[in-house]
Amino acid sequence: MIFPPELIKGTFKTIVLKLLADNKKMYGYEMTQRVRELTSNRIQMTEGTLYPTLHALESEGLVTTETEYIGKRVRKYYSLSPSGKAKSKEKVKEFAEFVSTMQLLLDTNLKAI
Amino acid sequence: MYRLTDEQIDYILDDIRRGGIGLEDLQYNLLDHICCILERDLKETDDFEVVYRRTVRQFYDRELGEIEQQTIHLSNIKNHYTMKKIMLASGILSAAAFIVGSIFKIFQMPGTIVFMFAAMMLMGLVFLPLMGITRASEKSIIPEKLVPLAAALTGSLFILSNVFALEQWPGRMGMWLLTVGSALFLLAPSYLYSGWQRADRQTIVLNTIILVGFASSLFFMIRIH
Repeated sequence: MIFPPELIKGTFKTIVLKLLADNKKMYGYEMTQRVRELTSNRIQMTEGTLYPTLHALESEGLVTTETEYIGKRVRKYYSLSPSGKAKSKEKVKEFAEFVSTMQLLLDTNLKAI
Repeated sequence: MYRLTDEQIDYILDDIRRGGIGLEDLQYNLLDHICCILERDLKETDDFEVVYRRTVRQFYDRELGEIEQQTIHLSNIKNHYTMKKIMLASGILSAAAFIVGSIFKIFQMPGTIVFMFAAMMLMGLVFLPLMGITRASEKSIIPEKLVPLAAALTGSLFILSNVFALEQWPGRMGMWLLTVGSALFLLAPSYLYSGWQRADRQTIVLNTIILVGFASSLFFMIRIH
C-alpha cells in the first residue's frame, strides 16, 4: 500500500531533516531512493515536493549545501547546519508525540466501537 | 550503466528551462535528478526521447513549472521576483532611453544628453546592481555568489566612469582606476576560481584572459595625473 500524498504532506520537512541527521550529506535523487528503500516503497517522496522542501530548508538556514561538478552536471549535496541538527531532533520528537496521540485517539475510538 | 552525452544533458537542461523553471539552482537540481534516473533506466537500445518524456512526466501533475511555484511559495522568495521585475523594467527603460537618445543625436536634436544620461544612470545604478543581487541570490556557494556581484559592480563602475568623463566631473580618474581594479582584482579572480571546477574550464580561462586584456588596455588608456 502506498500512503496517499495528503496523509504525508506535512511530514516532508521532518523526513528530510531526519534523513540528513542519519547521513552526513545527501543529494536529491539519493534521498528519494533512500525513502523508498526504508519504507518499502510505501512513502514516495516525489521530486515535485522534495526540491521545494529542500529550498525552503535552505532559506530557513537549516541545511547547508556544497556542489560537485560531474561533467556538465552540477550535483548539490545537502547537510544539516547546527540549527538544522537541533530542529531535526525537535521535529522528530514532535512527530513521535503526534503519532502516539493519534494512536491514543484511534484506540479510544476503536474501544468505543 | 548508460552514460548520457553532453548533447543529451544540454537538451534536458533546455527542456527544463522551457518547462518554466527559471531558478538556476532548481534547474540544476532537476537536471541531476533526471540524469540519475535516466542513467539508471536507459538501455542502449532505448529511445532517449521516449524514456526522457516518460521520466519527466512523473515529476508534476499539470506542468513542470508548478515545482518552481511550490518552491517560491515555500521559500517565501517573492522579493526576489519583485526585484527581477524592477530589474527588467529598468533594463527596458534604459534601452529605450538609449535608443531615443541615439535618434536625437543622429538628427542633432536638443535633449540627447538628457536621454543618454538617464540611460546610463538607470543601467549603472539600477539594472546592473539588481542583476548582481538577484543572480547572486540564486547561487548557493559563496565563490559563485561573488561572480555576479563583482560583474555588476565592475559594470556599474564602468558606466559611471563614462558618465564622470562625459560630464568632466572631478574624480573621474579615480573612477576609472576603481573600474580597472574591480575588473582585475575582484571579477577576474572570482570568475576564474568559481569556473575552475567546471567542465568548460577552457572557456572560463579564455574569458578571463579576454577580461584581463580588456581591463589592462583600459588601464593603459588612463592618463594618471
